[in-house]
Order: sequence, then C-alpha cells, then structure tokens
Amino acid sequence: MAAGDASHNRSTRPGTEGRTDHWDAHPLALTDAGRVRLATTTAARTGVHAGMPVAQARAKCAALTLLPWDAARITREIARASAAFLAASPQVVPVRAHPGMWWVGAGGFDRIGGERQLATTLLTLARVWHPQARVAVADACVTAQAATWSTRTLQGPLHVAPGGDRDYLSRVPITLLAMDEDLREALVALGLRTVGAFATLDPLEVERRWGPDGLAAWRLARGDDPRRATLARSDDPRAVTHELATASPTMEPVLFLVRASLDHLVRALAADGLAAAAVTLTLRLEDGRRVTREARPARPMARVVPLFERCRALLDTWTVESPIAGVEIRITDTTPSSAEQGDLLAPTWRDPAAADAALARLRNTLGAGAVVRPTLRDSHAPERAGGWEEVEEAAHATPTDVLGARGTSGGVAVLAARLLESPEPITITTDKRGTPLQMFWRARRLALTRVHGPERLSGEWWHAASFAREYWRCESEELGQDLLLYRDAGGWRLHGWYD
Amino acid sequence: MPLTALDLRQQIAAVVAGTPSSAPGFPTGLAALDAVLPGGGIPAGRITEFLAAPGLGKTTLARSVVTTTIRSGQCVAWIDATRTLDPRDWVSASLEGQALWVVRPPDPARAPWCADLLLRTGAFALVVLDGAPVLPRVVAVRLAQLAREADAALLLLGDGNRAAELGSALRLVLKRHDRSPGIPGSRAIGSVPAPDARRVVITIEKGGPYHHVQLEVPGGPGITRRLRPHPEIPDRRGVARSRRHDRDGRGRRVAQPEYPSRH
Repeated sequence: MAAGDASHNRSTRPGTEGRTDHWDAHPLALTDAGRVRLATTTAARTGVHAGMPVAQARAKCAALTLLPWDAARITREIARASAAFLAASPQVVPVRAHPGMWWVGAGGFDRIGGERQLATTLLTLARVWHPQARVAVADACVTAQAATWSTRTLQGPLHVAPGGDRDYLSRVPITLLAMDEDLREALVALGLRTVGAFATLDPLEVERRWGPDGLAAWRLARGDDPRRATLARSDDPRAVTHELATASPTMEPVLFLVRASLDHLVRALAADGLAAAAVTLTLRLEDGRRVTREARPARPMARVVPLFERCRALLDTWTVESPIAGVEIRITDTTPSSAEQGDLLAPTWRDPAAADAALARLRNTLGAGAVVRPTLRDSHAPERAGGWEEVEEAAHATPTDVLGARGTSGGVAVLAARLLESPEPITITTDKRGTPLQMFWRARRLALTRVHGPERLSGEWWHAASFAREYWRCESEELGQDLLLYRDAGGWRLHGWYD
Repeated sequence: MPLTALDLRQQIAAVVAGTPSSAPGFPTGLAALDAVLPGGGIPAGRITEFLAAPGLGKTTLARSVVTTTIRSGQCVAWIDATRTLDPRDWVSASLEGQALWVVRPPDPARAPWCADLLLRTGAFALVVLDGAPVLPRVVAVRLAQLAREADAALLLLGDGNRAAELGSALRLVLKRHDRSPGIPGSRAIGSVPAPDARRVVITIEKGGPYHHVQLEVPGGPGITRRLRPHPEIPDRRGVARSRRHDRDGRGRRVAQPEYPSRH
C-alpha cells in the first residue's frame, strides 16, 4: 500500500470552457429563487456571476437567457458524465455544489500508461461533453482544481509533479483557493495575493482570527486536502436529532443519545457499503445557541464502538455555559468501506481503528504525553539519553526486533533499568577513597556489598541542564537490588535500580 | 502451513461458540519456562501475574514476553504506573517499537482504568499492568472479562504476594536463589552466561504444574569507566589511572567481574 500511496492521492479535475458553436458560447444563466445560480462563460464575461439577483444580471447582459435551475435534470446529466468517466478510472466523484467538476482517482495506472495516459483519455471523454474541457493531475484535489485554471490546460492535461503541490500552490492567486468570501476579502485586504503567502501565516493566529474555517483554508493552502477521489457518491449528510426532556447541565444524557444514534446511523451506512469519515455533534443550548464540533477518526470506519469513543473523547472535554436542550449527531463525510478487512479466524488480527479511538480517549483523559513510544536521544545523561515521544496514530504491529541497543548485548538480555523521575536524596558513608559503603535511605541503613564505579558523566554545559555526576552501581543484599547511585554537587542521590 | 478442513471447522466452531481461541499462549522467550507452561507461554484471554521483589528481573521477564509478542506481529500496551521505565531499554533498533505503546498515567490509581480501556478496544494482544495498586476484586473481575472477550493476555506485575484480589489464571513468582555458582539445571536468559549473573528461581504457583525453573539473570549494563570520550585523546584525570576495585559492606575488596563496555 505504501508504494501506491503517493499516486493514489493524485486527483484529476476535468473542467469546462466555452467554444463558439457550443452552449457555453451563448449568454445563458440558470436561476434559482430569484438569483443566478450558474452562468456560462460568455455570460460571465459580461459580468454575470453566481449569486447575483436576476434583475442585476439582466442589467449586465441584455441578451442573457434565463433558465430555471432543474436539479433533477442536472443530476441526471452529471450521472451520465460520471458514467462516461468510469471508463477511464473506477474512482469518479462529482464534486458536490460544483456541477461540471469531478475528482478522478489517478492511482494504480502505472502498468497501463500511467497518469499521462489517463489524463489524455479523460480529456477525450470530457471533450465529447464539452469541447474545451480541462484536466489537471496533482496529489491533492485543491491543487488539481487550481491547476485547471492555468491556460496551459487548454493545450492539454497539466501535471503537477508528485510532491510538488505546495510549491505549485505557493504561486497560485489566492482567489483560486476555495474559502469563505469574508476570509478571502480579509486576506486580500491584508495584502496577501498568493496562496503561498497565506500558507506562511502562523496557524494559531489564523485559527484565532478566523476560526476552524480559516484553519481549514490554511491547510488547503499548504496542499493538505483530505478530499480524495473515491468510489463514494456525493450523498446527503445523515443526521439524527434529539430533544432532551429537560435541559441537562451535564453530558451524561448526551452520551446515551450519541451512542444510540451512532448505532442507527452506522448500521445504515454499513448497509450502503460506506464508512464514516467525520461525525459532527451539535449541541442546542437552553439559551438558544448552537455549538458544533467535529470528531474525525484517523481512518474512516463503519463501526459504532470506535466512533463512539471518538465522540466521547470530544464530549469529555466539552464545557458548555448553558444547559443542553438538544443534540444533533450528523455523519458529514463518508467514504466507501475500503478499510482493512479483518479476518474472522485470525486471532492476531487487531483493529487499528479501535486503537486510534483508545488513543484519543487516553490522550483526552490523561493529557498529552500519556501515551508514548520509546526513543533514543543524543545525551549522556541517563535520564535524557532515552525519551518518550507521543504516539500520534495507531500503527499496525510489524514483526520487529523490539529490543534495542541496550536490550541485547552480545546475545545476553540484560536487566531492564527503572529510573526515578526525580532522583531521591540519600546519605552515603564512604571509605577514604570515596567508595560507597553504606546507604541511608528512607530511615534505613543498608550495607552496599558489591560496588562498581565510578562512571563520571558530565556535559551539556551549554545550557541550563548541565550535569557532572559520578555514577556507582551498588548492590544491597538487604533489598536484593542493584541500585544506581550518583553523586554530584548536590550530594548523593538514588537514580534507579535494575529489575 | 495451510489449514485443513478439520482445523477450519474447529476454528469456526470456536468462533461461533464464542469461546476463547485455542491459540497458544504468548511465549516468555525462555525455553526452560515455556516448556513447562501450559500452552507454551502466558495464556491469551486470561490474567497472569508476575510477582517478585524489585531487582529480581520481573521487568526483564515481562519485556521478553513483550518482545516475542511483537515479533509475532501483534500490538502490546504497557501501562507504566510508576513511570520508572527507562526508554533506552525499549527502543527498537529498526522500527522504534511501533507496535508498543507505553501508557504513563500521572496517577497510579488510573492504571486499571487504562487497562480497561485498552482491553476494551480489542486492539492489543497483550496488556501489561505494571506497578499498579493491588486490583480490587470488582476491577479484577471486570478486567478478566474484558481480557476474555478480547482474547488478550493481561499481565500484572507486582511486588507483593499478589497483584489482584481475584486469583489469576497463571502466577509466576520470582525469588532469589543463593549466589553460589554452578546450580545444576540452571539456564541463562540468552545464549551466553552473563559475567555478573544472579540466580533466580521462577516458581509456577498457579495455573500449571507446580514447578521451579532456575535461571541466571545477567546484571544490568553495568558501570563503565568512560573517562576518555575520544580514543585519541588521553585522559589525565586521576580516576583514569586508578584501579578498579569492588568492596564489600566493610570496605574489603572482593572479586572483580568484567562488564561489557557500553562504548
């Protein structure tokens, strides 16, 4: 799967442009509720654009022909075009709210001509439908979409080099990046003209000023686009709404409702062969406000327990200022159930999605740094020579030599060390050469029978955590332990033991 | 090895009946011990206790179980309630231990809750609960049930006589043997006897035939006199010229074992 990752994410976007003998060459507009919803290229050249009142559009273009928005017919036409594109790739997704645009999966074509052949085929198919359709190939959908605006696509498909999305986007005008109109105006007012300039902003500042929508746009600007061309169809969100009998100041009744709702929603999803990629919880408060948060698992899933764990992790840390009057659970993003298939009869198969859910819950409850993996660091101080790094995502177990540099030594397993987070002060009596003889620790006097040392370690004088210690490994018959002691300028300390 | 129709039928019957899998236990990595343990290791779907005073090697023994489990391609979670594990002992040379999670709760009392959560996911084949307070009976019953449902092994490491108020399926007790060398039948962990090995007797107190296994547990990595950071640069400090010596509690010299150099 790893070999296919980069190419799997590459997406294509066929677009449209008018020609003199085509409908796009006529000033046409589709209207809905008194406003223009869609306009042809020719109409757009006269200043007509989506969202404009019909009267204003007529004023802009006297020859404008207005037709009513026929959702059923448009859906039928999109389905027909999508079916045609399926001849080129099995992953064809008509983009929601953008009729005339498709994401097409371009991965896995290496043996049959690669992306270039696919793009050429797509272009041929698309130009049956529209004579100047455009195709661009990139890793992320946002890049492919932006690339179709390049004039080079009129000559043929445009290929953004693999891994070059961010670089390509950095030069693209910011107006080509999908975002909220207010945000776009604010960025332009700030003097940001390119997507690259937006991407250099501090994400914390972006989130503080423009909220989650701003952060989502900032991620798109960096080429971080979660959208993928899949077999999924563009369907309506699935939602369940509950009203509480009495407003609750705690999340407890909400948890029960979320669990029950997920049972229902996930069952329906699974029946359709889909998996949930995102779940949003909207709390309706007694004072009339509505607050929404999203739980997005690391991988789409169609099982209740891990999804519920995600939601519970979200609710555990959610404080509301007013009692909760109702809750809406909505699955806002779905993908086909293409997750790893479990093996009923293989006892070693474990569900990574469940591990992800547990990770989120542990991190939420215990705080950052509670779920970690060991790692080595460049230091001679024993407590800093190894470290713990945060587990970001559950990984599949892979047969590996888990014992590291210290775990095995010439085929001999050595005792594992236990180090105290805060070395304990102790009192030591030594002989005239400074060798420890006895230790006073926790009101006990312990004879040290076997003493090895010293090992003098010092370093890191270049920052505040400098150290200069003399380590001794001592054995106490009374405790039956190998103890690790050290002496520094602050006196003797017990650092740990071997077990 | 391809499955026969009979094997397949038995597996399906086990799944349909909801009984724990007949998969063998998780080997401890010690051939002498695995040979006498039922199932060839610590059992899946059950609670196992390793009981020993600090310093006798129960962490090392548990690490050996973790190693063999991960090598079999399964995930392991280690709940370090005392927050004293040294990460250097657990770093994988190749993959940085991706199949190993270490959970370090800020409060040891949260450790059983962590075990509950990890077992409930069914994502871990082995969950080690290390240094937690003795589990109350109610908690132990709950964890035993979760382990059975997930077909995972729950390994409790304790210092006292027991790690849970509920009896475990298997209990191994590590005790120190006298230091006299040459115990017949003793085996070393690994292929080469360690220079400063101590002898430990592992007793199967419960869950198998009452049996003693004597083992030589090598010492830790030891203290090296790392006084010259670079071989080309002579160290002129006084300690570099001093002789190594070991002393007993009264300051008398004793035999000097050789330690492998860490550098």
